[in-house]
Amino acid sequence: MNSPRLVAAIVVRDGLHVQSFGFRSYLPVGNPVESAREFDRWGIDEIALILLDDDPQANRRLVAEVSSAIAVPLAAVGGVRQISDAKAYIAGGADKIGLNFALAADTGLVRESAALFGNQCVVASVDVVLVRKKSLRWDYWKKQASGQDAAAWVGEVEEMGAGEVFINFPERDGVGEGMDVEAIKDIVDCTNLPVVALGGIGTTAHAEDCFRSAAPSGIGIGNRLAHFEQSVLLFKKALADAGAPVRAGVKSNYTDSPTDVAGRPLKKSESFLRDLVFQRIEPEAI
Amino acid sequence: MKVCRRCLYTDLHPLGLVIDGEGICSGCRVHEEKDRLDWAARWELLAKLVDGYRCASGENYDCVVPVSGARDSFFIVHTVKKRLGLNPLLVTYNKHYNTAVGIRNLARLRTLMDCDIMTQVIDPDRVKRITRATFRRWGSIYWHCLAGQTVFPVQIAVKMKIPLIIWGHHQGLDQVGMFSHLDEVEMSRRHRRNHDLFRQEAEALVHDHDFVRPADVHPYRYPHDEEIAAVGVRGIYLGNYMRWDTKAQHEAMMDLYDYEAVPQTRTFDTYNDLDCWMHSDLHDYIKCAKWGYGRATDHAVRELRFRRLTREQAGSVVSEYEAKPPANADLFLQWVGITSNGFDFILDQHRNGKIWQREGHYGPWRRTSEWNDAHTAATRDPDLLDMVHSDCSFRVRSAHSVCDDRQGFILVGKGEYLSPIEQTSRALCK
Repeated sequence: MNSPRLVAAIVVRDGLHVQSFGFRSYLPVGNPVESAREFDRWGIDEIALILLDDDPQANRRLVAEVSSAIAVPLAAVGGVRQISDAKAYIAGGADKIGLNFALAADTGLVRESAALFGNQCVVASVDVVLVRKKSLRWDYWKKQASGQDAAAWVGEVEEMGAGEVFINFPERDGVGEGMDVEAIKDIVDCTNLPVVALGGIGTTAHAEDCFRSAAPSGIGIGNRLAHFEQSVLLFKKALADAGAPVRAGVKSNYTDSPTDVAGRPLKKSESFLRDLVFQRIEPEAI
Repeated sequence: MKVCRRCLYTDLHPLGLVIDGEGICSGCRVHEEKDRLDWAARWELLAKLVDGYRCASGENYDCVVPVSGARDSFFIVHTVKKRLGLNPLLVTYNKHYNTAVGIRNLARLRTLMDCDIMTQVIDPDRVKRITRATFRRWGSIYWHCLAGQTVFPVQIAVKMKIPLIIWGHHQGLDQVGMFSHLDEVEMSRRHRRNHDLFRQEAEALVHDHDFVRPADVHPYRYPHDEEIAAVGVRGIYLGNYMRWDTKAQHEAMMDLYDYEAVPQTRTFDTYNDLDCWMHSDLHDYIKCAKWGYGRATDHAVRELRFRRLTREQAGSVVSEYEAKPPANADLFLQWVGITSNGFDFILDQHRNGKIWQREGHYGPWRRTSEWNDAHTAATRDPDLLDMVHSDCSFRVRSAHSVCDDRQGFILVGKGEYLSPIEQTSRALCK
């Protein structure tokens, strides 16, 4: 079995990479291309561009620009209203397109995309909230729970032709106090599709907990990756140190670095730093 | 274009700005944390963090602290050395546009704080060629200052194997709320490239047309990832752990260390950036042409959020200062070797068409109706803060000397500082 993927979620609003909090408030980080380029160099396994803007031309341009700046797979999620949008994303270099609103509004679009590009190319983005201990589908446009069971909804989108599911938890978005492992496990258990879970990671232990207990195909991280240098490498290293399965990333000189709970590096030993004075540090070149 | 209902920023801010459903910008929202967070607890976080970086053997410095002759340098070093009890290595990038006041402040800083300092002075000929190139390409005369200030401390940390760099505040966090204080954001190559260097690495400047060769940009190259990781370099911001208030901090430092404060051309703030002939002068004039606002807006917004200026007062102080022409443009033009006409010609190509429009082909530049309408709309239904301070006056203190006259930039200056005892003994000797 493959090790789970680490997916960087880059939320884009008004053309800016933003930190997202509860699907309601946002803080501006910078240019999405710059963020994607860094995450790629730091050894992320996949990048999901979450496009909130209602500007098809700008979305298409951005997908093409990001895709040319990175080497890892790119999922372009959001802003797909018609088949021409999906075609433009794929032509621009996206490996997958993600649909959310269209799943409920235009099942024909989902089927057509799956027929045209293959199921593996169509990602169903499903938002989940917990109401009286039941996981329900959350309606992005109405900003409320829809009353529909989340697992049943995942079954429906699979039937429509989706080849992968991104599940996100609006109530945990940007909170950083852990993922809803039980809800994730319920969905992973009831579908054959690969599931990528997002929302709630604050420490590396949160990701480790989710990997162990729910075993999704991938875990998405958003805001945290923008907070410190080489965050992807350090995050993966902390997970590997804890014995969690991670994919080998790029070469890292953090191997002997202790890290804190958030995965940030701590000071290496003084003897190590003293010896380093006489070493030449080569950049990785492929 | 939208304007925040509380402060004066538009969503055209070059650092990016998010205006929420209530019409309040992300910068104002993050500023609210200053009155909400438990700063004593946050200070403890900082104390614990830096404890891990003390050099037990005493054979190396504990941290690198970037400084200049202004901009909270005294406060940062005071905090690091006196309050946290660390042994810092000070580093400073010579920005070439130095004023005598800045030179004196820096001399006072290293004398009174008993710190070692490393200074990087790049060959003026090289800086001039680079500045001509950056002005032509991006309309920036400050690229070398930003690139140098943000990279020299990192290069020194890597070379001398000092894994901690301590900065003052994070500009993106303070102005546009790029991060919450709780995110404890750290220095990054991405931020430098994205927001300081026009989304390019220094190497992008190499061009035959500008006579800029690879060797010329070498001092501005950021250490590669493996070097940063091998030493484990991280740069933290004090502003994430302290209630950062630059006005109050400078005033405390004036009382403690005789920090000099002087009036500036295009802002009412007499404390920040006075070490540079260009910053609150020609550089600010360029910023206004490119982005529609200048340092007076940045400073007025800051004071407004601290509830020391009303929105109305902030607006009028901005109109007053941003209408002022630069007073020291001739110094720069002479230094870099560009005519005044040539300067205007290049600058006009970098003006933002959403903000400025020209009357006829050669007439004066005026704000667009889009800009004016957005600002008028924001004043119709403003979100007014209750004032906490009745006074927002900035002090002036200057040990004026003959060097303060407008003769040109001071590349290297001794900046003698005499303690009161030395002053007395010298007077007695006479």
